[in-house]
Amino acid sequence: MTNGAEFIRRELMIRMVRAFDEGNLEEEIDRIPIRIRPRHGAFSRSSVWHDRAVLKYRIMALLGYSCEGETDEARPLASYLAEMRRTPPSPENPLTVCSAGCDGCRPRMYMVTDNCRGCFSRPCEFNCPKKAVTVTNQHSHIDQKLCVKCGKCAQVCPYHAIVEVTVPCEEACPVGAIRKNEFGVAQIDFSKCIFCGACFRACPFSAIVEKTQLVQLLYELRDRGQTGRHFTAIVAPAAMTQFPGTIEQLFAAIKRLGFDEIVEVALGADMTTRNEAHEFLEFQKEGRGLMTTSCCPAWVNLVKKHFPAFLPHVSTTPSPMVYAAGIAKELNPETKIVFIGPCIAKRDEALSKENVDYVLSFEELGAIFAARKIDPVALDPLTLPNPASDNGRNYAKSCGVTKAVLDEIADEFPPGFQLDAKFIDGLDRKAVAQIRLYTMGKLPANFLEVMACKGGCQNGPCSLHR
Amino acid sequence: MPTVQLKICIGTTCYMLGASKLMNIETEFPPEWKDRVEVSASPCLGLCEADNVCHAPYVIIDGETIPNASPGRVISEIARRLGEPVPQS
Repeated sequence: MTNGAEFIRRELMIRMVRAFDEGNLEEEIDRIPIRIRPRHGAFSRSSVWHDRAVLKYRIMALLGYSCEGETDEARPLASYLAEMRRTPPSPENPLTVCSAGCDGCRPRMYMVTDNCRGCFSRPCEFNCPKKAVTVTNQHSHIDQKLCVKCGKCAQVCPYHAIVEVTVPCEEACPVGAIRKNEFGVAQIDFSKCIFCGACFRACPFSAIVEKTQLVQLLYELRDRGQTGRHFTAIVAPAAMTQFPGTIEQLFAAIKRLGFDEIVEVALGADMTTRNEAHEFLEFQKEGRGLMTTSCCPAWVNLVKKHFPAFLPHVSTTPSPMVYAAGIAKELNPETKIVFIGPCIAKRDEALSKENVDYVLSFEELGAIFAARKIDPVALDPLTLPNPASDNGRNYAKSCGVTKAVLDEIADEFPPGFQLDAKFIDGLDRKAVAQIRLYTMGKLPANFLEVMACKGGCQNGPCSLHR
Repeated sequence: MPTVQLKICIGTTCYMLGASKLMNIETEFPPEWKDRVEVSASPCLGLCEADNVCHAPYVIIDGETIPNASPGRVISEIARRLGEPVPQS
């Protein structure tokens, strides 16, 4: 295991599904934190009680509630569960910060460590533009009231004695949407957040949590006998790389969860390819310049929230998810559609698309398999009647969209047309700075693919191989 | 020369909780271990029942169950049984 955050998140999901399957989630839900952190057992924060408090908030988020929305600290989880069953909470803004978990970081600052030799040349003192650094008693000191955190002292120290103390979520966020509030707790500004999941990945305390529909969906699938509802799983192309075994074995496993129908989102990707490719030709014919892809919802959020004037350059072709949902509705207009993928931003995109009813992550899917002892690799393959193309399935890899779109229209470029295709592989601050140049027309390109996750969706924040 | 048998559980619980990082563990072995370690994967071995889920992933080395099997732990267990020093990577 590479980190404890991933482990506890997945362990908790597996235990939730097990408790649900045993039929006593209502009685068990408030005991789950105690079972994971028993009184005399090991703990990972300050005590078992601290761990339990954090687990309680994580469970709230698994029920779809935001941790910040808590008004009564004494309210048991069973009460949230009962409310969720009556009126499911809004899936809006799918990230939430668990304040009980967010307490480890000092504010960002520069600090002198014991490596300081109090040297004679004192480059730290000489290079500080604000006279915040002084050397007294053979040791450098930084006056935090004067320091502007420019980092010059750290750069020039020959002993590497000055370090930057960082706030990982703030440092990771490509758009400055997360900041510590007056209580020292990280707070997400949803007018800026693009749901790329960078903070979720970066937080070493695992305090940034996804608000999910896992438990709601478990009930929906269990009760389908009484409600008579029909369910279709639309499965993102990133599924190819998630579980041991073939994609057909994974479909067989998904079918076992009670889905009536499965549609590959890669089929929708084939439709995106055709339409986006021809949109690109039109774009060039009309001399509208740079056109970018539109399949990555975090990228589309970035443009909408931070570069709205650039929106006419983003392809208007619907995403593969939207097309796949359309295919599912054609097969059965009454079906409830569950998108299964690796993405937090898709939870947000699905909200605004009327055809998609639920979003389930690969981690949550894996947790259901784990709890029910379903090993995809041990199952007979299920071949879908209408499999997608290789190019459609490759959408989950960086440059996969570009390849599919260009393959589609390779023979149709007008004479003399010079293709200039570029790509952005992963949204970090540097990439956003580069995108700013594209929006200002200062970098050459006529086709730009943007993937918020490095390597593509297959490495999404809720994939099994981040 | 002693040899060692390593069986990795790739049932979904173990896979989710770390076994995905063990599947290519052979590539981390020193070349001298070739032919001395027999690696196999298995569907769920049933070791993750009840509260034991927090000790996944499990591997079995020469019949002995090893819980919380990280790549480092598995490699040092194998080295011990082979009578070799733990390889420094």
